[in-house]
Amino acid sequence: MLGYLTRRLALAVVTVLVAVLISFLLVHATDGSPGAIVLGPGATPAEIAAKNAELGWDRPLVTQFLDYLGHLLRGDLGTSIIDSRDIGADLAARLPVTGFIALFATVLSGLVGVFLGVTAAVRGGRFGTFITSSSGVALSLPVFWVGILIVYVLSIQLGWLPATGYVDFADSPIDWAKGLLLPVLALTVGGAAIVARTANAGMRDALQAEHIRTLRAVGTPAWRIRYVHALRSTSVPVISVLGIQFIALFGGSVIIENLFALPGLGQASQAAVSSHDFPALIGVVIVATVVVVLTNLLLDLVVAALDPKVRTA
Amino acid sequence: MTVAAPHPAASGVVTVPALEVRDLVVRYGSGRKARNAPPAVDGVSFDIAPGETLGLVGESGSGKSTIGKALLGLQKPSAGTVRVHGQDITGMSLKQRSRQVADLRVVFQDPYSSLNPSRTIGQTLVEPLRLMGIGAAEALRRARAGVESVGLPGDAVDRYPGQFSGGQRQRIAIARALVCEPKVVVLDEPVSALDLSTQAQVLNLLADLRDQRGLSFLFIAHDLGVVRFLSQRAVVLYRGQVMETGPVEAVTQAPRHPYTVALTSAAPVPRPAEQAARRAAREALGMGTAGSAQASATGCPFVPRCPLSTDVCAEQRPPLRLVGDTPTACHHAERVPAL
Amino acid sequence: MSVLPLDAADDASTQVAPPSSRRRLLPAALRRPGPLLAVGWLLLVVLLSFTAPLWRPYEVNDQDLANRLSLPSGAHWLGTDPLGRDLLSRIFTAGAEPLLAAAVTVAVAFGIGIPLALIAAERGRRVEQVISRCTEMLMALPSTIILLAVIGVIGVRTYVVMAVLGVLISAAVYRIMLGVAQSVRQRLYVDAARVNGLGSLRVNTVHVLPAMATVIAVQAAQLFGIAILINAGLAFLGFGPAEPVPSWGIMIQDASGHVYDAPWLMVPTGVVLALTVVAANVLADALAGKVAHVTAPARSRRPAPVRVADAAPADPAAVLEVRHLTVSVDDGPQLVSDVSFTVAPGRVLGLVGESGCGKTMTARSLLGLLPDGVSVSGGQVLWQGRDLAGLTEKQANGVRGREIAMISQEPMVALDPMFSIAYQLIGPIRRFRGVGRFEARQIAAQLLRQVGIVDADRVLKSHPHQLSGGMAQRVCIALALTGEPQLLIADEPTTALDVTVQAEILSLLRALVRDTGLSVVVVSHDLGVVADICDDVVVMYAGQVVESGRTAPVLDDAAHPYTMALLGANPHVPDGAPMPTRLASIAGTVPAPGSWPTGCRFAGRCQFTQAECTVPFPALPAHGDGTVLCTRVHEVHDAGVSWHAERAGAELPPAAGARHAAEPTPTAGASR
Repeated sequence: MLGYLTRRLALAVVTVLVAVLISFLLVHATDGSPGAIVLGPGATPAEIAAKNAELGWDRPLVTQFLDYLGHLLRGDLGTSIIDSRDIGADLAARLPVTGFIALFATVLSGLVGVFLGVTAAVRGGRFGTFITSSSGVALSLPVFWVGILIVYVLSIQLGWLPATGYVDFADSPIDWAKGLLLPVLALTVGGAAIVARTANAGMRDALQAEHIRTLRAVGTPAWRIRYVHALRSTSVPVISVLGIQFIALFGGSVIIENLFALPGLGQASQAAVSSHDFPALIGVVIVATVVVVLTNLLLDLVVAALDPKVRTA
Repeated sequence: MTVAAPHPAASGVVTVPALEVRDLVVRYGSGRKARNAPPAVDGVSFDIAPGETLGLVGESGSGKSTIGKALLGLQKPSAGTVRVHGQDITGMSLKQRSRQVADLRVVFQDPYSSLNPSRTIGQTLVEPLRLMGIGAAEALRRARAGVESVGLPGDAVDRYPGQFSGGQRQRIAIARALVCEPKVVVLDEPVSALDLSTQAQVLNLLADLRDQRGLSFLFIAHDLGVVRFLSQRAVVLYRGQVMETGPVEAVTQAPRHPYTVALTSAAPVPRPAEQAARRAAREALGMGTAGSAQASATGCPFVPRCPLSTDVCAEQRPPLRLVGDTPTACHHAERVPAL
Repeated sequence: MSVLPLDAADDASTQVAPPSSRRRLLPAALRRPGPLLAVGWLLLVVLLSFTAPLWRPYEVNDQDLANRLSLPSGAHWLGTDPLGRDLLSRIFTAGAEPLLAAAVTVAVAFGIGIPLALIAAERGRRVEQVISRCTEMLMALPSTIILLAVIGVIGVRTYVVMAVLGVLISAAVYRIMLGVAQSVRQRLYVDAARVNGLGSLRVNTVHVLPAMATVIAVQAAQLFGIAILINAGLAFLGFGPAEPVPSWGIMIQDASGHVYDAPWLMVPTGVVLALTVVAANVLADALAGKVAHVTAPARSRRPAPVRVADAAPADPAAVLEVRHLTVSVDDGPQLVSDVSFTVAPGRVLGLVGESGCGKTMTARSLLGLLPDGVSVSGGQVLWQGRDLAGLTEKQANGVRGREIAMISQEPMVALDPMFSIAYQLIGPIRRFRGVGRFEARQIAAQLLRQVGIVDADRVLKSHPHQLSGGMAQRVCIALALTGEPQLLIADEPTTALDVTVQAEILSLLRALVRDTGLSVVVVSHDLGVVADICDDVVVMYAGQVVESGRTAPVLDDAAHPYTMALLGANPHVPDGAPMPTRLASIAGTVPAPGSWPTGCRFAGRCQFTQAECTVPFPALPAHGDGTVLCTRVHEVHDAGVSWHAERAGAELPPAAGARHAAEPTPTAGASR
C-alpha cells in the first residue's frame, strides 16, 4: 500500500516535469518570436532581435529551461510579455473562480447523477429506460449551447438569475453564489448525465453479482442489499468518474468562463492564446497539470480506501 | 534430480523418447519478489515413449498446466531442457518450432474458448496446414478428413463453433491438433469442462486415436480416475515438484507418497459402501488441511499437511528415489503403506 | 472445474449461437429504430455537408439585409443570421470541417492506441508496464489546455490541432484496448494459433483484432462525438475558421450574443450539432448492446402458481416435501417438470444429473431464488405446513437463512468482495439472534471454528479475496449457519474445489448433519459425491426425476438406463478391479428445454429404446420407497441387462464412411 502510494507520487512529480518540458519546448523550440508579437507588425528585424535578447530568448535552449525551472521551484512563473504582469499572482487570483465552479459542478453532478442512476437501476422498467436514454442525450449536448439555453430559460424567460456578472466573494457572498449558479448548472447537465450512466451500469452489475444471491439466501432485507452492498461496489466507478469529471470541468472551464464572462483560469488561457503570451501559456499549462495530478492522487487514495483489494494489496 | 523414470516398456531396447523433459524450472514474473517466491515448476523431469500416454496429475497450483505451456513454448522455461525425438526445442521460438518440429500439438481444456468463434471449423483446421506449406486445396481436403476422423460429418468444416456442443467442440479441437500429424500431443485437461457422459465419449475417442496412430500423449488432469483410464504412467505433482512417478496402476492403486495417498483417498467413488470405507480410511490418515500453512523453502512442500513429517522433512527436500517400483520423493515412503 | 472468462470483448463465448452465422450487412444490434435513426442522421449530415456547395440555396456570404435574424420562412428554411445570411446553407457548409476533423482525431487516437495495446498485451508485463506508465502520464496532462497552448504557438490549424488531440486521447484508447486485448489473448484459440506457429502479426490481425471489433466500434463512435464537440468548442472560442467562413462554434457564439433579441438563432445550429453527437452516442450504445439491457424488465414478476388440488397432508416424517414442482421460463418452456421428493430430518438428499437437467433450478426454487424471468408454474414446496412456492417475496425472505439456508457453487464469488468477513457474518447474526455487535462477533468466531477454521480471528478480519477456495466455502457454510436453519441447500458445493479440499468440505457437512440434526439437499453432477454424503438420491434428466430412492440401492443397482450409463461413464472403478478399455458413454446431448420429446425424454439417447418409450407413461416404484421412470424397467433392469460400453475403436470412422457419433440420433416419433 505504501509502495503503491510512493509510486503514484513519483509518477505525479514526473508528470508535472513532463508537462513543464512539453509546454516549454512547444513555445521555445518552435519559431515563436516574442519580440515580433510585443512590437507588432511595424517593427524591423533588428528591433525584434533586440527585444528577443532583452527577454532572454537568444540564449541556448538548455540555459533558458534551467533558468525557468529555477524560477519555477521558487514559485515564480515569470511575467507576461504583453503587459508585464506577474503570471503567478494573476493565476493564483483566478484559480479559486475556476476551482469553485468545477468543484460545485462535480458535487452537484455526483448528487443528481447517483440519485438518478441508482433509482433507475433499482426501479428499472420504463423509468430506467427513460433515465438512461435521456442521460445519453444530455451528455451529448455541447456545454456552450446548454449554457445559452439555460440563460434563455432561467434568466430571460423566468428572470430568476442574472445572466452574467461575476461578483467577488469578499464583496457579496450571495451575489458571488448567484453568479456561479448558472455556469454550475450548465456544467451539471452533462456531468450528472455521465455520473447517472456510470452509477446505473455499476448498480445493475452489482445487483447481478453472484454474492447478491448469497445475501438474499440469508434473508438480507432488500434495502440493505441495494443501499449497503450494491451501492458500495458502485461507489468505486462513480468516484473515478467524478474525479475525471472534475478534471474535465477544470480543463473545459475555458468555454463556460467565456460564455459567462468569469475571471477564471480559462479566460486567462484564452487570452494568452489569442495574444500569443508565451510565458502565460506555459504558466496555465503548469497550473492545470498540477491540479490534474493532485486530483488523480486524491482519487487513488479514495479508491484505495473504498476497495479492499487495492487497500490490502 | 535427473532421475527420470526407468521405462518399463523399454526392456533392453534403447529407443529415443518421443518427449524428454529434464530439470524443468519455470518462474513467473521478474524482480526480487519473483526470485524469492518458489517457482511454479521446480526441477521436473520425465520421458514419454512413442505411443505412450503419461498422466500429469495435480491440484490447482501444482504447476501441471505450466509444464504444458513450457513444453509448447507458450511460457519460457527458466531452466532445463525439452527434447522432442531427441531434438532440443527448449529455446526455440514458436515459429521455428512449427517449421522444424510439427511434432508437438495441443488440446486445451475449455472447448468454448479454444475455437475462434468468428472463423469456420475449416478455417481453423486449415490454418496450421497452410503454415506447414501445404496448398489450399490439399489443406481443405485434410481438414475435412480430420473432422471425419473424430466422428463428425465432413461438412462441419463450413460451420462455426457456435453451432456445436461442448463435446463436439472438443472433438474439433482434437482434430485441429491431429491434422498436422504430430507425434506428441499435450492434452491440457481436455475433459474436465465436459459432462460425465460426454467426457467418456472424448476419452474413448482419445484412446482409439492413440492406439490407431501410435500417438504419445502428455495427459494433464486433476482426476486420478481419468488419468488411470488413459495413461500407462503417471507423474504426481505438488507445488511444482514431482512427488511420485511410475506405472499408473502402481501410483493409483499402491501409492508410495503421502500426497498421492491423500489424492487417491479423496477421490469419491460412486459405490456407497466402498466410499464409506474409503472415507473412514481417509479420515483416519490425519492429513492436514489444504492451504493451512506455508511450506519451508528448503524442505518437502507437503510438510504442513503430512501426517508422517519429521524434522528432516522440513529441512531437506527429499530426492526422487526408487521405492518398490516407483520413484518417490519422500523421506518416509517406507512408512506410507501403513497409512 | 472450468470458470469461463466473461470479459469485455464481444462474442459471449459461453453461449451456443443459433445456426445462423451468415454475415449481415448491418449487425443485429443496429436493426432497431433508435440506432437506425442515428445511422440515418449521421449519413444525412455527412452527405449534406460534403455536397453543400452543390445544393445550398444561397452562397454562404450572401447577405439578405432585409431579412436579418429572420425566423424560418419559405425563402430561408432555417432563418437567417445577424447579417441576413441563410442558416441552412451556412450550417451544412460548416459541417464538413468538424466531421473530417473528428475523423482525424479518431484515426490518430486509434492508430496509436490500438497498436500500443496489442504490443503491450503480447510482449508481457515489462513492456506493458513501460507503455502503461507513459500513457498514464499522457492522460494526466490537461488536454484542453495543452490544445490551447498548441493553438497559441502554431496558430489555428484545425487538422493539426485535432491530430494533437488524437495523440492526447490515444492514451485513453490504449487503456481500454489493453484490457480487451489482454482478455482476448487469454482465450485458448490464440494460444492454439501460436502453437501452430502463426506469426505475431497474423495472430493479432486474424484472432485478436476481430474479437475487439465491437469495442473498437463503440469507442470510435463515442470518440467521434467528443471530437466534434471539442472542435465546435474551439471554434466557439474563436479558434476555428475565421469569419466569414462559417463554423458551428462561431455560429453558436453569434447566437449567444442575440439570446435576448433573436433566441431562434441558437436553435438550428445547436440542434444539428447536438443531434450529430447524440447520434454518435446512440450508435455507440447500440453497438455496446446497452439498450438491450435496459429494455429487459428489472422487476421480477411472480405469476401465481397453478395449484394442484391439495389432497393429503404433508408427510409427517418429512421436513420438506416437494410435490409436482414445475418451473418454467415466464411465457416460455418448462425447465423442471413435475418433480416430487421429500427430505427427512437429519438426512441428506442428493439431486444429481448432468448440466441442463434442471437440478439447480429445482434447488433454487425451494428458496424462491430463481433467476428473473423464471418462476414456479405449478406444484408445491411444503415446508412446516406452508407452501413456499406461494409465498410473497417478503414472506420468503423471512424463511431464508432463518429456516432454510443455501451455499453455492463458486465460493470465491459468493462473498461480497467489498466487506470484511466479520461484517458479512455479524449482520445476519445480529438480525437472526438479536444480539449486540460484540456478542455477534463472538458468535461469528465460534461459527468459524465450528466449520473447521482454526485462526478464526484472522479470517474475521480478512476480505474474501484473501481466502483460498476451500476457506471461502467454509466461511459460506458458517454464513449459512448464522440463522440456525433446519435445512441447508448446497448447490454443487465442491465443484470448484480441489479433490482433497472437496473431501474436507464433505466431511464438514457430514459432521454438521451429525452434530446439529440439519437436513441437507446437495446438488451435484458427481455420483461419487452423492455416494459419499447422501442418504437419498434423486436422479434428474431433462427436467424430470428419472430415478429416486435410498442412495445405496440406486447406485449399487441402478434401474434406469440413464443412471446405469452415468455409472458406466465414471472412470473410478472399484479398488482392485481392472480399468475397462472403454467407458460407457451416451451418444448425443441433453435436449434443450422446449424440445423435450413426449414419452421418455431419454429415449433419443437410450440403448434400449423401443416404440413403447415414445408415449407417456407413469413412474414405477423401485428401490423400496423410490421410483423409476422407465417403462421397460422389467425387460431391462429386472432382466439383468446393463448399459454397455462401445467396443474399442468404435469412436473411429469405418474406413471411408462418415459416422456421426456425436450427432443426436433421431428416433422415430420421439420428438414433437
